[in-house]
Amino acid sequence: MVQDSEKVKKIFAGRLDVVFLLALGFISVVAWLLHQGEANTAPKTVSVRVFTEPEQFFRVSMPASRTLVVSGKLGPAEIQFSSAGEYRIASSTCPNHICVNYGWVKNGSLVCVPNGIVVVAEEKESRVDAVSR
Amino acid sequence: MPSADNLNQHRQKTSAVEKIATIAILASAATALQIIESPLPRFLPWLKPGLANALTLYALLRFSTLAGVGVALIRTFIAGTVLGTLFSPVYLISLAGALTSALTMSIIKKLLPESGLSTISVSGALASNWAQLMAVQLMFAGGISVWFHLAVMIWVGIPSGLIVARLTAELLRRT
Repeated sequence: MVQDSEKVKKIFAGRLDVVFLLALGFISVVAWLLHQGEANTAPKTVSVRVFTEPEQFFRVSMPASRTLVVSGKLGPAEIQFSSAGEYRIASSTCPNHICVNYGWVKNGSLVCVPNGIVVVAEEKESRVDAVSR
Repeated sequence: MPSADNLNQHRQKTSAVEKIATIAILASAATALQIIESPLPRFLPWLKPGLANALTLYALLRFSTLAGVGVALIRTFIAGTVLGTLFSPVYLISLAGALTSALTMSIIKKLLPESGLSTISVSGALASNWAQLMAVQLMFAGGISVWFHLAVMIWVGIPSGLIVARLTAELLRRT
């Protein structure tokens, strides 16, 4: 009834186990590098949502060199977009200006809680630059 | 005097009862480990040490794939009942992880008979994390960075798999 488990009683039974762990380590490093590359990829569009009554929604195609002025819960806010595909909240009528101090981002979210503003990268650039048939 | 046939039948019955009793004990211990682990803080919702997998692995090695899958199923069901998460998304995520892990460990054991406990256990840990992430993706959030999670999954899967392997080795040595 009980199977012979002598072969697998050791934690490391041979070279196979070491090779397996090293391969996993290598895969994790490659995956991390790919993730880093992905994080630096410029977004295709950036959405700006303002949680006022009624809610306001804007979508900006990137890269764009422009400034968007929105009317937040507390007052006006300026969102700047650069030709390099970056964006930031340049000014906001909020008490601590945490969102403004966050600075430029290329692929993240910016949130101004007091003013009810959320800026999110929506769609990333395709990593494929050619299609072969 | 009982005949040799009767004695053999009696031994077989006793052996079957012993097996069922051992699996029940393993399932209970695995349930206890899962419940103890549940309130521990986690880096990501689907990443946890998974010590209960040691009992699944033990059942797989000592008995059969069916026994291992049985321990995984029983422990997720009872832990779900006790924690009040039965048939909730949390339960489904846990079930996906436990089942995939048990099946993966069984497949690795059969495909790579020369491998040690570490390979089997780390494969199980990775399979569990992967299945749970897939369940989370399906139920809640699409668009999670696959590369980021693969990297983190391996970093967490290797140490937790090695801990499970150490526990299982100790269990096998003592029984």
